[in-house]
Order: sequence, then structure tokens, then C-alpha cells
Amino acid sequence: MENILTVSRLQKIRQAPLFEPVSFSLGRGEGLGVYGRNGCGKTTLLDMIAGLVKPDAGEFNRAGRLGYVMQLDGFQNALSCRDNLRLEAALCGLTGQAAKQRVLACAEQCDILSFWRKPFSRCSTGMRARTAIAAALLPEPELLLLDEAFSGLDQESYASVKKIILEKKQAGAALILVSHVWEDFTDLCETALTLPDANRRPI
Amino acid sequence: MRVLRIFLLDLRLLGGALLLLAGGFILCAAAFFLSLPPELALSGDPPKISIALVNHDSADMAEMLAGMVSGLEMVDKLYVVDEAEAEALLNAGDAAVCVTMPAGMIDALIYRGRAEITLRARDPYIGAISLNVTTEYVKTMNRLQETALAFYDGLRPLYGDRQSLYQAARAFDLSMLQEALLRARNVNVVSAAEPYHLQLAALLLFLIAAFTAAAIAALTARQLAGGYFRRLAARGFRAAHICAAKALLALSAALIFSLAALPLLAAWNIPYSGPRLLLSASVLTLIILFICTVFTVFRPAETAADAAAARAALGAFALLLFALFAGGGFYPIHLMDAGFRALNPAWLAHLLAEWTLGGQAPPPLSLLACAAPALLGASVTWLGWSRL
Repeated sequence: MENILTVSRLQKIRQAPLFEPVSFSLGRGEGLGVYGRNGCGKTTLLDMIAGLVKPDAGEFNRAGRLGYVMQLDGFQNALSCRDNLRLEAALCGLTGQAAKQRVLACAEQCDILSFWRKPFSRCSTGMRARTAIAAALLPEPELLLLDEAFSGLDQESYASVKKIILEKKQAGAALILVSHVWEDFTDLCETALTLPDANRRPI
Repeated sequence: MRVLRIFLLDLRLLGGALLLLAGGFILCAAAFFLSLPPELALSGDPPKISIALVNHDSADMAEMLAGMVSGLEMVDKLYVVDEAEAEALLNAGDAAVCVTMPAGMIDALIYRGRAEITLRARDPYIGAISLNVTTEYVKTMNRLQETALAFYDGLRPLYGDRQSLYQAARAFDLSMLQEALLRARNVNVVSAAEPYHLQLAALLLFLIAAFTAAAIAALTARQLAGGYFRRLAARGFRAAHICAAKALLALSAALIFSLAALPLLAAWNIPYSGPRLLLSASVLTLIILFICTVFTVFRPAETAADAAAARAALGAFALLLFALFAGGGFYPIHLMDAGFRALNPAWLAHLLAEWTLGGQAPPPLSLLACAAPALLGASVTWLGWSRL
């Protein structure tokens, strides 16, 4: 099976190395959890894979399109969820009718049509989380990065968001899910990487 | 294309802020107009003022000079009084300016000595204009006297010594000066008031730049704290794209507001042209970018995007208040202490806008000096990007 992502001894050094060199590979439909305390470098690892941050050591090879659900969603509060998604589609390079259709499809998949005309500033945490996932799904990613995607969600929203991610995984996307709650990895990840020691173990 | 995408979104988000900017601009313009004498505010003509003249020189020529002052186009009434009466007229507001001619002034003029004419005014703008006009007259008299003296040097052998020569030429001197001063076109009173129109136009344009910078800084701070730039980075956008989009936004705003200032320029008879306005808009853009970058990048780390935006806006407005003072909003910048002006950050931008609007080419060094903050701002932006 072709690997979507191959990471070899990846490391980021600030005053000292943030974590031990990380190595793993991820194939289609595979899920990897990244677990650790606050400040151990979980987000930095995702940023390196997404290309936001340059690694100080090691390398990685990524095949396919990327979707990234960030901790800070970066959406415009003054715009509606729909307009934020349209903006994201434009940033992905989607234009015209193709962009509209794709936005509608992702909105349906993430069940946000009931509130997507609402200004983003007035959306609840659960609504914002689902909109962020819809945005990450716009480029039809083969690799999905999720940074604390379940943070602050109530039980209903938690179940809803998990269901969407699971559907995407079952459709063939590889996942990397960052969380400091071990139970978040259930059903979504086969293994988990703990930082800063970079040990990988089964869920 | 990527730059355009960021630019169009920023424009959409700034829509409301631009309306506020327009309102702020109108308020500032109204404040300046209200602070000026009506004639100066509404047209290019200097105001008519009443003058209290204190004449300590007993020479006939001094009295004649005093009489000529009353005939000047900018003089409404002339009171020839003593010191105490002049003080009273000034305090009561019946006279805008008190001019004191010292004893021996005419002799100093004729025999190339020194004399000090004192001006006192309650309104700094009127005082500055009076100073300019008086200086122009004194320069004219000095130039005429120098010309005459150069001619007299050729006649010295006929009289033996300089004193005798001057004594003989006194009557001619006086007639020449009288004739020259009575001819208004030797002294352009209108041009004495022009610097203040230019100063006001430059100050208003500077404030436009500062207000625009505050809005862009607040928006950018909000975007930075809210993670928008990280989202852009994840889609392959680079710092260069963002900087270029902000520069385009600043230039657009500067151009639009510069065009809106055209009616003021026309009312004040300040010559303008497309290239000149474009140059002044470019100068404004550099100022906007610098102020925006400083307040965007050097904001403290905030978890709430709105708090970051509010702090950036507050900081920018504090700078605006200082800029209002430093830029001459409360007191004419030309009358400020030279040492303070040299340290005044608004002075250079002010001068550049004045030169541009006044039709003069700015010295190349000043353009380089203006580019320095922009380059510094760009460098700081790059450094700030690495903090994301």
C-alpha cells in the first residue's frame, strides 16, 4: 500500500529539541494519534508536516492533498460560515461553479447548512468546529491533520464531529489527530505517538 | 492573483472602518478650519488684521513707514500708540498684532547698522504670517539698500569718506525706499500665507495616512491573533503575498483620500497634478505601512483577537494624538523650536507632503530617509512572520 506520509527523524529545535526525532509512515485510511502534555510540540509537528514551519532535522515525504483543522480556526468573524467556506475554497484554488458545488457538498457532509448564513462570530463552539472541518475537506484531502479538533465540544457536537472524521477515514483519508485526551483516539486511530519521547504504541 | 485575493478580502472587511475613517477625516478637517481665521480657512487670501504700532524712532522716515503699513492690503486698522496702549489693544483683541519699531531703526537701515523689530501676536498663525510679511519687507529694504550702496561706492572719491557720501545720498535713499515699498508687487503678501495652506494640506494628508494605518493595523492584528495568516500559510501563501496585499490596500486608501482632498487644494490655490498626487499618495503609503507594521508586529501576545485589535487601535490613536501635536495641529510647526523639529518624527513626512504639494522636488536624501522606515517596517514584518 502506498504511503500518504513518510516521516524520518523529524525534529524541531528551539533553545533545545522540542521532542525526540520522530519517524513514522501513514497509509490510506490509517489514523495516528499524537499525545502529550501542553507545550510538548504537538502543534509544531503538524505545522512541519503542513509546511508552515521548517524542520531543523529530518525529512518527510507527503503525497496527496492536505486538509488542516487548526486550533485557531483563522476564520473571519465578520463573515458568515458560508462566506468563510467560499473564501477558503478560493484559497484552495477552486473557482466558479466548481467552488460553489464543492462548498455545498462539504457543508452538507458536515451538517452546517442549517446555520451557514449566520455570522461566524455568533456560532457556537460546535458550529465552529464543524465549519473548520468542512473547510479542511474542501480540497478533498488525502491527509487530514486535526489539532485539538474536539476541544470545548459538548457531547452531541463531539459525537457529530467524530462521525464526520470517521466517515472521511473510511473513505480513504489518512488522519493525524492531536489531543491531550487519550479517549479522543478511540475508533479514529490505530496507533498513537507520544511526545516528547516519540514512542509509538497501539491504541 | 494571491495578492489580489488577500487585498479584496481586506477591502471587504475594512468597509465599515473606511466609513469611520472618512468621518474622522471630516472631523479633523472641521477642527482645523474652526481654529483658523475665516479668511485663511476659506480662501487663499490672508486675513485682514488690525495692528498696534509702537514707534520709538523719531525720524521722519519712520513715521512715513508707519503710514505705509496702514495702506497694506492685509491691514484692516492701524493704531499708532505707546507700549501700554498697545498691550491693552492686544489683550482686548482689538489688535491682532503689536509691532514695535525701535529707536534708530532708519539710521540702522541707511548706515547698515542693526535694529530689532518686535512682533507680538495672540494667534500663532496670524503671528507667523505677520512675521513672514515683515521679514519680506525687511529683506526688500535691505536688498534695495545694498544695491544703492554698491552704486555709491563708485561715487565715494567725489565725497572723500563714506559717512559724507551717505549723508548726501540720504534724501535719495528715502525716496527710493518709499517708492519701492509703495509698489505692492515687490512684496507678495499672499505668498507669505501660502506655507500655512500647504502645512494644513500636508497635515491633513498625514492624518489620513495615520487613520488609515490605524484601521489596517487593527485589522491585521486581529487576523494575526485569530490565526488567519496561519490558514493562508497552510494554503501556500507567503509573507511576501501578505505584505504586498497590505501595501496595495494602503496605496488604494491613500489615493482615494488624496483625491478627496482635491477640493481643498483648489480652494487654497495649491497647484496639483496627477503625478504629484500620486507621489504624495506614495509617500503616505510608506507612512501607513510603517505605522501599521510597528503596531501589528510589536503587539503583545493575545489569545483574544478582538483584544489584540483594540490594543493596536488604541496604540495607533495615541500615536495620532502625538502626531497631531508634532505635526502642527495645535501649534504651527514652522514656529516650533528647531531642535524639537529635528527630532520630530512627523516633520520629515510633513516636509515631503509639503514639497510634493508645493511643486518642489524633495531632496533625494529625504526620499531615502523616508524609504528607511518603510524598509525597516518590511524587515520587521518578515521577522514578525517568523513568530507565527
